[in-house]
Amino acid sequence: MPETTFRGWMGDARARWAASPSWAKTVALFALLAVVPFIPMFDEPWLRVFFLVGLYVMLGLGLNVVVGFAGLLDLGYVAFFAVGAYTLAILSSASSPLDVYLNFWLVLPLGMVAGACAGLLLGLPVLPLRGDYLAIVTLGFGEIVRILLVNMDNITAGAQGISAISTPDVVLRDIDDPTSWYYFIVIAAAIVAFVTTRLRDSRVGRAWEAIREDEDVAAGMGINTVKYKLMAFSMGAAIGAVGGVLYASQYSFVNPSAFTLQVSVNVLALVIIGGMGSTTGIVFGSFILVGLPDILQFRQTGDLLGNFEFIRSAVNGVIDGLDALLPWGIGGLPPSDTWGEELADKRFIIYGALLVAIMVLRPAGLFPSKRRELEFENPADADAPLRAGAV
Amino acid sequence: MRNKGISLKWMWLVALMALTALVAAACGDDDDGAGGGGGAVTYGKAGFTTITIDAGAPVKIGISSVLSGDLKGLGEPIANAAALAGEGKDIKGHKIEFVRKDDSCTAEGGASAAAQILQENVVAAVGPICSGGVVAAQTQYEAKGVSHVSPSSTAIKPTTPDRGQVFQTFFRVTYNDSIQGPAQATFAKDKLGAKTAYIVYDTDAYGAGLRDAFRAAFVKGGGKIVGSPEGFEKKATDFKSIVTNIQAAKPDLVYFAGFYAEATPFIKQLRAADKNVKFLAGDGVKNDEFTKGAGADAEGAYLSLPSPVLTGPAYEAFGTAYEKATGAKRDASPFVAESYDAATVIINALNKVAVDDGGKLKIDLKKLNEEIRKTDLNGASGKIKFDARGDNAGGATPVTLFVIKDGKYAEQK
Amino acid sequence: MTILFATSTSFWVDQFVNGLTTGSLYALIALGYTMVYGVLQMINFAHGEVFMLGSFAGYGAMAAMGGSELDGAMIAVSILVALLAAMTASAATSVALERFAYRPLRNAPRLAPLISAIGASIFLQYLVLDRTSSEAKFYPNVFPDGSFGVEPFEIEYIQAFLIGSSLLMMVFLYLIIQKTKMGRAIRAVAESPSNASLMGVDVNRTIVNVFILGAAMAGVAGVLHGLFFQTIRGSMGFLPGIKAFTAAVLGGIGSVPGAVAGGFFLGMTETVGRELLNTIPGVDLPNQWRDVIAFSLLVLVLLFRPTGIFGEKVAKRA
Repeated sequence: MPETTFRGWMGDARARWAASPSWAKTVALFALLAVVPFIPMFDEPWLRVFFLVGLYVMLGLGLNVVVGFAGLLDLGYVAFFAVGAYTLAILSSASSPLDVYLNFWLVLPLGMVAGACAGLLLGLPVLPLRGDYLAIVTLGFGEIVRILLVNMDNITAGAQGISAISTPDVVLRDIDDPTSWYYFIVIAAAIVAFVTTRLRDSRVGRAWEAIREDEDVAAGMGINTVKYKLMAFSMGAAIGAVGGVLYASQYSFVNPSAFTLQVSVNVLALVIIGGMGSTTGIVFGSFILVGLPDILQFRQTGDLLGNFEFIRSAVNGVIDGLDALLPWGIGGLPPSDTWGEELADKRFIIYGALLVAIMVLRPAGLFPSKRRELEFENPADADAPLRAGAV
Repeated sequence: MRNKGISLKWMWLVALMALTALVAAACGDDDDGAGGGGGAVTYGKAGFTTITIDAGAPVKIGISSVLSGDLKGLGEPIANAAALAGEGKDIKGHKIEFVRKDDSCTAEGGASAAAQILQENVVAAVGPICSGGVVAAQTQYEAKGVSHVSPSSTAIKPTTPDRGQVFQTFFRVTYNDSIQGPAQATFAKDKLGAKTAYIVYDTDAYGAGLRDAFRAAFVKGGGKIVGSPEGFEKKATDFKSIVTNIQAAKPDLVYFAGFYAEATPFIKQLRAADKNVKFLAGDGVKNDEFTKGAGADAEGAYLSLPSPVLTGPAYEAFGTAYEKATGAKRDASPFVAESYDAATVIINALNKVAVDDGGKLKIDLKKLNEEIRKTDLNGASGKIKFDARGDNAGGATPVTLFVIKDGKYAEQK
Repeated sequence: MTILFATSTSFWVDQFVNGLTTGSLYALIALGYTMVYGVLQMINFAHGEVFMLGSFAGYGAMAAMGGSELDGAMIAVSILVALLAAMTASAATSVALERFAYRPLRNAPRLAPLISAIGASIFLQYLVLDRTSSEAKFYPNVFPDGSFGVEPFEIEYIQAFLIGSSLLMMVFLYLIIQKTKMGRAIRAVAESPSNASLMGVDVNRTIVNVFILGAAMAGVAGVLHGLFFQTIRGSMGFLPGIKAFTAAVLGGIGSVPGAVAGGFFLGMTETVGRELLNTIPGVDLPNQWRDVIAFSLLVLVLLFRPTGIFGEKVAKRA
């Protein structure tokens, strides 16, 4: 019986996928991702979007360490992204106020260290804070970093930004075209996914989980909460900084207006929409939130929608019928070959509505991890109907 | 204690990553690093090709502008004006088609729009309209050898990039900030008799650029900047605290480097407290929205435009056509005449270089680029001639000043 | 600003009044954040948009009545109508938000309603931007310029009106919460929804009431903002929203007096506080540092009082 429904079919497929060995999963996934650039439809704009999606997957994985593993709500993740981006820009570009030109591969670890330090810097004062207090302070931290970038002209070149940023080269091949960048980000995101998954399953990960579930109990059990919270912040921050380094290198230009609260919100939203904690979920979340707004304005989308003229005729037929009955007129749909344009124009409205819809329909996210699903179904709190459980 | 093992593992992880990075760095060859700077212009390698257009197919021109969100009101008229330039025109029997993409006025947007535009086999493009988008998109246009003309980028960076090489495919119709700021400073001192000035600026690239240009020129000419320049973020409405500081500082002039969206509430709050202090702002403010929104408070405000005054037959012709086509007023938003000219420049050059090949059309992008650089046009926005960097070097007196009288802009000699 | 001319009494009085003005707007909006948090423990991120929609509704009402053409008593009437229209529109928006974006998520993991709220905020903001073609609207300039009082203790008419009406609304809200049956229900639900429900309180109804009250305050703030700054646009809700949220946290989120105190405190810090810092030799913090000061202060306050100025028992479980 369940097999006949779509949901049942999905569940079945998911079960089979879950049952297959992990190496097989990894191989299958990479085989799938590696052929993407060879599909003719995925031309340059698509690969650029996929780069951005991959970049946000990395950021999502990093933020997941802070929010998902350790349960610390961070709305200022963009700060670390910015630290990484500016580390590379300042240390590698001739247009930065600093007269230093380092190779990409030298700056990458420096960026990580700078990011981790920024994470500690943020982590230290907010240690005693919990929940929503943490949210606003981290949000403020993100804004402070952006304002510093704008106003410290002598280091960051202020609002003018820094261009001509160095790109990586791997085995004598310059990473400077969309295809190379695509592979580069896929591999980078895979490494981050591997590292964070290993971390989650390590003793550190279990300590984070204990803190997330109940900090007081965790402390009572002898877990050094200060140390582990700082570790979560700096680990997440370091990953964010790596993302920033890649971002700066790919666009070869940074300016402060790229590092707004919008980035933090996007990353947090995609982690949660994905179903916190699952890598698959983060990939999907990133595709929907980061990829779709751009894809909506692609030529192929417009062409595709152009085929649906019959829907317009049908809908407008109904509307015409209604018009005959009603004292006032109803507009009617525009020609279907303009739908692409209309969608592109309204893509942020769609984006907002989509966030709400996904949350309302699937409150635990698109691909919730098993454990979270359990938490969700068995709220332990006495006031559970109103007060949801831990993060 | 029992965490010791973990910490070690951690350190190993970091060390391993650092090592990988170092090895990779050693393998890769170093950057040339040489920074030319100033002097003669050397171009990088532009990937010029020849584009063939099938019989009956249109010639495509890209438009990269802001088409959604907060700045749609700025970007949409610009895109419309560019498209208007192609209306009723053809290139040797081929229709002109415009490919519009949203660049969101950001770096990512500029790069993404460029990729989408270039994928459509365009022969040239108008835009991006913001300097950040231009800088992020330039390498793509250069690689494909597609010339692009920005109607509105004013930052210095696009024509003065950092490693000595100038982008061959970039042009702009507007004059850059290094022209407007000093002209305003001279005007402030000589014509308005201002000895002291108070600077209020938008913290974006445009505002900060004008702030620096104006401040340097004003101080050099013997003027004094009182107080520290006060910055504000886009969408700001609360300027009360700044106004109180201005009242205390008693400057002869308030110099505003920003856009009309913030200038409107600012001047209202300024005038509520001080009716007399002179107010000077740039092209970001000169706009009908400003006179409409600020009403009586805008009276007597001075505004500059880094272009000759928009009059003459070319502007009239454009204005009439624009108002008829879009229903919007010709001076309702900035950079529309410039955008019309940017597209006109491209179309004129196309007409000269396109070769008819038995119904097909062959366009050599290198020749097109050279032809655009040879432009000598009395356009709607004034005289247009490009220098080797792609800057507009056409106007003899590029900055015009206006004063608002009875809700209208009157030229101030 | 330098110490040189920052010395006159009228300067400090003006900055003080500016702080009160900004602060009262922050406080009015913060009330909505804090009340919703009090009963649901969720950050209503779309509250800034509720404020924006109120401002637009007020604008529409005034424009429909003739706007700047009015004079005398009609001005007062039009302002009153604008306030009512704004409160209604804001309340309707807020109730719709609660019904469609938040209520389905009462049982959901804690961050789900936050994301839903962020989505609703983006949706509403871009919807209005789309409807208005991203153009600004301008409130009619109905208040006479000028000020009253004795030099140097002067206050502009409009500022006096703004501060006065905000305070009035706050008192009004306080009375509702403390003296009415509805207020008692709200307090009971904030204390413990399950207990309140056992005592016969209609929890859903009470939560809707909280959204309505908070939205009404935001609607009033929207009209006051419009009358004072005159320019309104679809994106106007974001910044005051963030600031008011900060104010609510500063005061201790969940606490009504805390939101008011936090709002005024934040407003004062951004104006008087910044100028006071500037009197320290060697310190020069022009306007662009305003938000840095505000957020640094927030961190500082929370360092010493991790649950805000008036924060009590909340924030235990997070």
